[in-house]
Amino acid sequence: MATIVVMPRFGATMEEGIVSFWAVKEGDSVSKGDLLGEIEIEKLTNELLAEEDGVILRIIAEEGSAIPCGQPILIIGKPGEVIDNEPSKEPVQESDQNQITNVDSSTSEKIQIPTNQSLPGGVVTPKAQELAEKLGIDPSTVVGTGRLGMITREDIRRAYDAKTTHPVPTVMQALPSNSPRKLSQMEQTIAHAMEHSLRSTAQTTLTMDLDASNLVAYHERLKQSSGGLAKHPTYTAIFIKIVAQALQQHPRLRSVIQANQLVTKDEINIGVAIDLEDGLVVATIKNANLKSISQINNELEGLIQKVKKNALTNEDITEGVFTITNLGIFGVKYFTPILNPGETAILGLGVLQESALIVNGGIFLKPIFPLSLTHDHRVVNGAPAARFLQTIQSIVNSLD
Amino acid sequence: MNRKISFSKAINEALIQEMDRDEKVFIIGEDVAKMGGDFGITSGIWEKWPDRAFDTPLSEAGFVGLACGAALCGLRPVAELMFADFIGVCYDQVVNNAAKLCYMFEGKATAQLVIRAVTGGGIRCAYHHSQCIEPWVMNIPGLVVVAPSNAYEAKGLLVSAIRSNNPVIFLEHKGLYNKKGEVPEELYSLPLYKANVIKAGSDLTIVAAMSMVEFAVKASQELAKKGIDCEIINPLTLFPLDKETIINSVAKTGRLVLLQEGPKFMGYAAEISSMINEEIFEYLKAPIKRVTSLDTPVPFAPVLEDYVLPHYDDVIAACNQVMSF
Amino acid sequence: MALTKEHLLKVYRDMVLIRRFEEVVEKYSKNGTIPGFIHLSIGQEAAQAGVIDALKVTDYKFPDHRGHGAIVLSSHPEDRKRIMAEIFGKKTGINGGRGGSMHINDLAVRNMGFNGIQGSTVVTCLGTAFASVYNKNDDVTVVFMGDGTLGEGTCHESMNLAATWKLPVIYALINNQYAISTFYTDSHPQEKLSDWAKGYGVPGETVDGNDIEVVIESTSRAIERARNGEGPTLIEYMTYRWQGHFSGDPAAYRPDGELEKWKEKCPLKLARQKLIETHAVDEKAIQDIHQEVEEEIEVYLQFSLESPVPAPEDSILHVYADGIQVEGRK
Repeated sequence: MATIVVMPRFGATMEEGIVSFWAVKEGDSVSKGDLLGEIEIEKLTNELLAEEDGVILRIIAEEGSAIPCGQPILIIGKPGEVIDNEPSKEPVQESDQNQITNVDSSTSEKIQIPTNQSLPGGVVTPKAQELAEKLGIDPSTVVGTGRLGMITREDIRRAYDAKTTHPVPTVMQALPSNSPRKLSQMEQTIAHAMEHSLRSTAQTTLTMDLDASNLVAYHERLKQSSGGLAKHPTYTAIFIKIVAQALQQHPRLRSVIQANQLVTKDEINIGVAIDLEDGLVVATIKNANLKSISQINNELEGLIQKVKKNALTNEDITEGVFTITNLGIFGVKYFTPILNPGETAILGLGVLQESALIVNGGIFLKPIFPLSLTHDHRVVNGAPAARFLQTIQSIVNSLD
Repeated sequence: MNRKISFSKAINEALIQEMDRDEKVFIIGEDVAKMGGDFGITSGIWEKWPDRAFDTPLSEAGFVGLACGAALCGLRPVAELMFADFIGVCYDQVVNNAAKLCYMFEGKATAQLVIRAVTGGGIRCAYHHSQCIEPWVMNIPGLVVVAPSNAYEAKGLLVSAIRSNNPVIFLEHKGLYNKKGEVPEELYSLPLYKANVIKAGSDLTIVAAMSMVEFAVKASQELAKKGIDCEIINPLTLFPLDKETIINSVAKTGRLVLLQEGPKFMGYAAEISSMINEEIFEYLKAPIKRVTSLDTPVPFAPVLEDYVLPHYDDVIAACNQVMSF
Repeated sequence: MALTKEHLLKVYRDMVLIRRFEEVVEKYSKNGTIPGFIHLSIGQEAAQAGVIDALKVTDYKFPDHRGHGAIVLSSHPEDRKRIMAEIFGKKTGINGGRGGSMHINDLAVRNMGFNGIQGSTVVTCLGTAFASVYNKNDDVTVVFMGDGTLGEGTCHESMNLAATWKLPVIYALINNQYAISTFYTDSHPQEKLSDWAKGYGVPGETVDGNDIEVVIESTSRAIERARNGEGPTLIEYMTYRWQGHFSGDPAAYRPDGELEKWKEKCPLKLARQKLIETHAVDEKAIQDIHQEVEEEIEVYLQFSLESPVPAPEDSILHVYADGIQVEGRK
């Protein structure tokens, strides 16, 4: 089906534009992104780019003519698509024997544009007249694409849509339209979960600058011992182990309220938030306290691969007790992560940076890992949460 | 200025000139040879070509079937149905045989026969000699149905029908046989599958075929006096129809009146009306109107037959209704 | 008039080919592979094989719905697998799958096809016979018809015209005695349907349709008459169909024992006896023929099973000549 390209609205106040120059002619093949021509509006020149591959079937607007926004200026379609220039003329015949045409070669693909009727105004079909009155469009400002150049309901509707569309900011190319669309399943799930989480818990966040000196050294040692191979454990994997160990000592942070009872989870399954192109998923490392860091790292790597292949199973994403989310790669320091529904705490990791600390009147450079711990205040008070963070620091200090 | 000859003479001329040009053409039917046809349409042919003109027994199925078989062998039969009503006794040969042969043979053999069918009422010959049969054959894919309205069209269209490789039902309205018109002497052809815009206009489209064209022209002249500018279209080939010409006309005028002799239900007027609705509803300014015969057999007594056939006054009434909607 | 050993061997092989062809399409019709319905001619091999054997390639042939045998035997050998493919509804079928069992035509051998309406080809055949006269050649036309077909009015119009104009038509009336469930003497006043022709002044003959030598002999005489411009002949070949009207019809309308009686007179059995007794052909030679036919049929079957179906859009082609096309789907 051929596409009618209309005069774009390049500015909020733009009423009409002038095609100052066509870079293509009828019959040319174009690819998406190719320059079609230039449009002038009050001393500003904008490029008109092709939004699809195709062949220029008809150039409607003449160079130098002023065309109101939303009116047709060009038709682009498939090679050999039939367009009737004048209704009485014989349509272009396909040499391909398999083309299905009616005896009179009329198909719904045909678009009737008489050559010198690229100007607005013209005879209006009765139903188009009705619609124009209903939508408040003046037909004399509309270019007709119907039979004999008449203005059709579709033309009126196109003019109406152009008038009421939000203006496009002045950019070098017309943005693709982002019309409303249905939410994906994942988007719906996340939206629901996050809102539910905030509504049903008393979340609050503590932050701390973790002294990561020992952590960095430890990480470096792991890197050396893996012989420079790619698969040395990541900081995230190390944190999973650290957090799992800390949780052993802080049962409250792995407890939830269920039916007015405090239920403590003994299986320490740590969830890791994994960013996707169009969403987010939390994959779980089960019994992280019982696994070695390299085991955890391998498992985490496996989960990430599964995510890429869209192969996560239900087991992979359930029964988490505590979640870790790492936004450090984006330069984020402190944030307020939202609890994963069914959990009592979540640890946000920020960007590891060399920072200046004042200790005993002296300035020291230390690697600092910003930590943000959101906890459910219904289950855990501020002090126990803070002590949990201290435990993490002491575990880091004793990494060997 | 061409000389004027009658509709029947024009057909005769077409046959003779085309038979002269192509020795594969032969005529077959009841009384077509020695007598020159019940209506005299084929006179002179047997005298010129005694082995190319064949009188048959009363065997419509027989000779239409024969025509089909002969066409498969490359010959070009022109068969005559003395009255179109007789298509009933050879209907199977027309719709199940002739219409489908090209399709059955995947185009490797074709049914290039012409069946000249003498059609229409108004001559007081009642039920079985007065019918307009085109609806009976317009629904059959593979058939071509042609309907001239004057001598010029008759000659040119019959020549094209004979030359066509499709089976053609050539409708000759018997009420037109004596009408004279200007006809070039030389051999010429008019295109099939193409409607004729008899008169261009801007306010109202009238579509009419065969005997109804006269009504259309007369109405147009009368309406012009009231400032109504009619466009008159004659489909000429009723099936397959030149839809585009009619659609463009009604897109322009927004108003359509269809004239058709024969029962109202399922005639060409019904088909065209339906098609306009589907294709260009939004261009219409008024509903489409049809003026047709009543849905009865055709009776004998003049007062009865005249009651049943289309009335001119109804044409004017329909046009007025449509203009004042 | 007896055939030579070579000739009899040839037509015996032809009949075996028909028999096996029919048995294979019967199997694939019953198991649902072949769409629609088919009409089997097992038991009528001699009538079909004999008539086709007597004709030239340029003679016009109009098979009927129970004529797979006549159709296969009149085709060029390399096209025979395409006959089976057509019955299977495949693109490689001789009519591209658009016709199927009942509508197979092949202009290359002047097989003019069957039209699904009984009696239609009986008048169309006048046209090909007429064309021979018009074009002044001696090609004759054979139209296969049945005892049921004879009821149609077109048969009478046809015989009347053919007789009056002395058209070169052979009416090959295969009388298998049943028009679906109706016994032929319940439909016609004559005991011998060939008597009907006499009313038109046309020679009519009733022969044993299961004796291939008799079939060939009588048909050849009729063909000779036609070629000499003496006009039409009607030959009534008495025979019997072993299956019901269509594959799947249990034929309960036939009296017990009748089928068994006719199986005794199986055309293949009769010819085989003749070969062995009169021409001293040995069993091995007979087996070789059967083996050869088996291999040939296997080729047809594999071809039919493996061929693709037609493209759906093929259905809108060739409604008209002269390039007039019809609308497809958008």
